[in-house]
Amino acid sequence: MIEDEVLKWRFRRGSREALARIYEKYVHLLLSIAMGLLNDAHEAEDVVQDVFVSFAKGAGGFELKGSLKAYLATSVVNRVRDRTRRERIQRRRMDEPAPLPLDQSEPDEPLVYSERCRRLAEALAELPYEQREVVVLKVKDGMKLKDIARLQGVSISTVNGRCRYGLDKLRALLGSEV
Amino acid sequence: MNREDRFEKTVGKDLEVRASDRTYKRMHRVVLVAHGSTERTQTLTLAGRLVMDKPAVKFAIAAVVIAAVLFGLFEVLSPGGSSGVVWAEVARRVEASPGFISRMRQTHTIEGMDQPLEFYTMTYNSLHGSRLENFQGDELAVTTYADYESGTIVSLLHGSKQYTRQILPPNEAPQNEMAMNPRSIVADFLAGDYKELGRRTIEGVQAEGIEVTKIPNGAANFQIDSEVAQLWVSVETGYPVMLESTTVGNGGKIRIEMIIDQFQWDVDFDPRQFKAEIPPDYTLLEMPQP
Repeated sequence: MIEDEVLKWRFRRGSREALARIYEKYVHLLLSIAMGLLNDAHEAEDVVQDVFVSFAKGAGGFELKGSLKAYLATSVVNRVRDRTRRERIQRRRMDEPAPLPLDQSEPDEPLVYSERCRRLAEALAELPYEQREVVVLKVKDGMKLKDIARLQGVSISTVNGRCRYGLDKLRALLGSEV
Repeated sequence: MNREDRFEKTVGKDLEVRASDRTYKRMHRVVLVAHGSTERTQTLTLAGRLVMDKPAVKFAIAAVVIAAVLFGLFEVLSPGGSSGVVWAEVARRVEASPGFISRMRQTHTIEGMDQPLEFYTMTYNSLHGSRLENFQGDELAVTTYADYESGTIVSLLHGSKQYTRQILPPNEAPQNEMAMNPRSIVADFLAGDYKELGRRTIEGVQAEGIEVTKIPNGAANFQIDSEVAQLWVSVETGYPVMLESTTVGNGGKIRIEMIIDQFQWDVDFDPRQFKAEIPPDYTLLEMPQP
């Protein structure tokens, strides 16, 4: 996309407007991806904020030849993985059960989404993480399987299998909803 | 569309999350604070600064105007705009061209001046930088080098054997650089309509044109009151062959007529052509750094 190429270029040269436009353009997509991966509005918000803050701070040394959208989506995935890994270690140390997803009815809800979206995020949370990642990146970001394979460090056929199994399970979990 | 595809599409559509207004604004603020830059003020381009700071180089390029016109046109030509396939292709082709040469002729009519300023500029533009040669009559008056990598702009004022050097702060560089680089598109510059002008033969080339009449004054060093710009593209090659514009500003006190033609596209330049070579007998003309 030509607009993204200009935004990347302007951002690298320090343009605040370019950053603002990138935020405006992609924040909701990234929140959707993060929500699909985490099933937690507050966590999703934190992850996306972290991604943008880190992105904003790195303006000077920013070099990107590929797609800006894919770069940001991948940044969300990496943050989610880091966070999940950290939490797993923490829980193991503390021997505590995983925290339950926050109730959507909580008054200070940072994100806005439909009931169908909430049920979908819950169903996605039932998938093994790798399958969830493939499904979310493919259906929400439109990422190609070969790019997801590179991101996950596995073969395309493995990603293809994860995608198929993930979608099958998701369909079974959602039943007649979709 | 089969059942699987429909399911994927539905999942993609249903997984739609938006930040609440409060979250959106809060995150926006946090992100911009992290960026650490101050609000960018309206900056002048190199041309604007030269014109204002040094009367001797009043004829220096009004690259701002070129930028305004070209960016405006390219914006409407961009695939995201309302243009058709052919025009979108033009934008892509121009964007992809590694280098180009063009000639720009300008007539500046400014209130208070005895007669209009007339000059022309040869532009040599690559991904590495630009070189602009400004002629008065047949005499080379100013050569300006813009090195994109270092953000340095050097102008050689041949009449007085002086030169200026400016190193642009990173925050200011884009606008100046944009002004020097008509391939680039200023995303927020114009989302206006254009009028198709049909076909016309320009120096033996069958060309198709469009006209833009509303271009915001985002990059000029004067208030633009009105602007009409026409872009003519070769039917055969899909590359621009001529660009004409008339700009009126400061309540009619400034009028700039411009024609850019003699385009050569896809030129592969040696980057060394954009490094300023200052003759040993030229002296530095101190100018306020931006």
